[in-house]
Amino acid sequence: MSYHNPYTPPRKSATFDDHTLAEIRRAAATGIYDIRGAGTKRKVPHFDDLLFLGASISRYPLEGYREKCDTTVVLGSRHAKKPITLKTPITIAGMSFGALSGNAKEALGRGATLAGTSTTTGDGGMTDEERGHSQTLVYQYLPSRYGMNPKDLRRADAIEVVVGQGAKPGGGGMLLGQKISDRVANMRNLPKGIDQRSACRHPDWTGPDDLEIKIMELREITDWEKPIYVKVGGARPYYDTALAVKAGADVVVLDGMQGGTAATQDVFIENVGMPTLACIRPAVQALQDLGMHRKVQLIISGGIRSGADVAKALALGADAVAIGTAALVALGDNDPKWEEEYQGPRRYHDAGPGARKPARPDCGRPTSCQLSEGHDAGSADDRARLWQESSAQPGTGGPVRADDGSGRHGPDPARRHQLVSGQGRLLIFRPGRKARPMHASSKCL
Amino acid sequence: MPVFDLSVTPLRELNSALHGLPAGANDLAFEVVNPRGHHAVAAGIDAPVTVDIKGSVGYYCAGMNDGGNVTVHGSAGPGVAENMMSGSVVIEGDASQYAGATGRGGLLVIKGNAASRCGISMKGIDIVVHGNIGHMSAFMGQSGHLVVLGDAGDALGDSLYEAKLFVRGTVKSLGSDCIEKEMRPEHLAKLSELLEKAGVRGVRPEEFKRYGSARKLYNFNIDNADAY
Repeated sequence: MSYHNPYTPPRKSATFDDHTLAEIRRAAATGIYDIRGAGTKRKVPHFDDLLFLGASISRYPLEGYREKCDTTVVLGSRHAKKPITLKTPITIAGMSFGALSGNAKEALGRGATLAGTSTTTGDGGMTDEERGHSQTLVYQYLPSRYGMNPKDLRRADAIEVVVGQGAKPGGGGMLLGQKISDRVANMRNLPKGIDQRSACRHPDWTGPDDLEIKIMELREITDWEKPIYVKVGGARPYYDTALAVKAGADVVVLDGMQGGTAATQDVFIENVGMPTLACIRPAVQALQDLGMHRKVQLIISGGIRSGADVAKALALGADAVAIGTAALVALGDNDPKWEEEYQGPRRYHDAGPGARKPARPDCGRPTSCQLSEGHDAGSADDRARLWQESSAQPGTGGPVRADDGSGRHGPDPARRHQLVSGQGRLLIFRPGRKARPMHASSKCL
Repeated sequence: MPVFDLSVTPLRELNSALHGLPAGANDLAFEVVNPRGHHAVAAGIDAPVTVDIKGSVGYYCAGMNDGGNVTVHGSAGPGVAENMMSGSVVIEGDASQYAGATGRGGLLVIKGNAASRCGISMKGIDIVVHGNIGHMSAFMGQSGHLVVLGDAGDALGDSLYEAKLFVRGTVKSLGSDCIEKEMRPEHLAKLSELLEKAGVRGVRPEEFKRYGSARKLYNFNIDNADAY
């Protein structure tokens, strides 16, 4: 009797999936762990899991394209003498000068101003580019206090006390040496080329009672004019929101774990924090329990990609949202059109750690490295032409990311960093061991 | 001389007066009585005023001072002269935690002792402490000078960048990447200058030891994992 034995394909392990296996092999080969940008890549419940109920008998709709839909929001009405009014409740999230170039900060300021919304500074301080081109600029007050000075505090429209961010609630940051140009180093008052650690907690206060005094100090220094936001990463949103309100915040900014970072440990990004969607209701509940909903405004960020996401966040009780990663993508970050350029460094990586990319990139076209702050963009003419090209086509200014192999590294010559993409992957390795990027730039987010 | 009695006058009036000086104002000397531990007394000064505070203050006295000369005739709570840009702050008594935190310029003089994390994340400020300082002082100090006539607590200068530390007494322990360094003539000269400015008499710069960064943690390297 013949017996047919059908082919059974090997079953892949859900626990040891392809990525996990590759990571174990990479760790074994290099002896290092992974530091990267962006937010969590794991699948988490998100706005896609919600749908709107459309109007029918019990609810009637507004006439599309005819009846007015006012999206104006006022932020900071609780204590500030000068609350800010946004026509569009989609703000640009805080991103550091250093991680982003001056050009990118200016572009974001110009775009936000056109859209009637605000931009936000980041670690590293305020640049003239973003102040000059942002009608409404929020100044982040961060644990590192890099570039912090009272003049900038006063020329801001609002102040955001950053306690944490969604990608790494409770964690500090690391701006790697390749991104430290003369200007960035000067603003941060640190030597050029070193890896700049951003502190995980503020140097002069701990806990909600201290925060209340700190906020009072900031109000005194700015004569109670500016709205004061408190930004927290998604961790314990009910209590953190309640404590921010207790400490005197005008606005609470809540960033879920899909929110991006410039660089931190992959294991931290993937395993610490709460999905944005899960943060919103507890935060709104805290505001409602305190009788402060709509009095203290709530800004939600972390994985906001579209108008639908915005509408869902607002429907859940937020007053506004902030976008970071989406704004960078709009600027050209991780655009597939840069794939060829990305493959160049990749070939270089494959050549092994002894190989070096030329210190100065080819200036024939506006590449990512030419538009990032830590790189020599060639002659003044090249710079002018690049900026002209990028500014002539808003949103096509090239990826905002650091490149690798600039030749700028720290005092230890035996050490190398290779930064494949600010939104992608960073590998740090030791000489004699081979590090190899495994993601194409267009697949990094 | 404007006198503000904080037992009857709101703090807001004092700070508002300090911030709202008209250009060319002549009366630049202020006195504050009954500070009663108020927070943020004389915070955000941005003019060359002189402020004498007759008593002890709470958190963040003279915070972000830019050009003022503030004297506290008492002790100061946490974060005195935090993020100072320029000018001077003198504490006749003791100072609590984080004195001079993140300061970018100016001179902070503490005539008593300073608690933990004195000069944390300092970015250019000069600090002279006549007494002792607590643990974790000058943590992640980036630049500027910390001069201690007495002793220093545990983990002095942990994760130090380019700030220079001078201690006359004992150091309980040094933090990661902080080492004793050679005292060269330029350091002795700077120390003399700072002692003079801080009103220290009868103390020679040669009595101090200098501490600074070994610069081994400047670039992230997995081989340094044991240092953290």
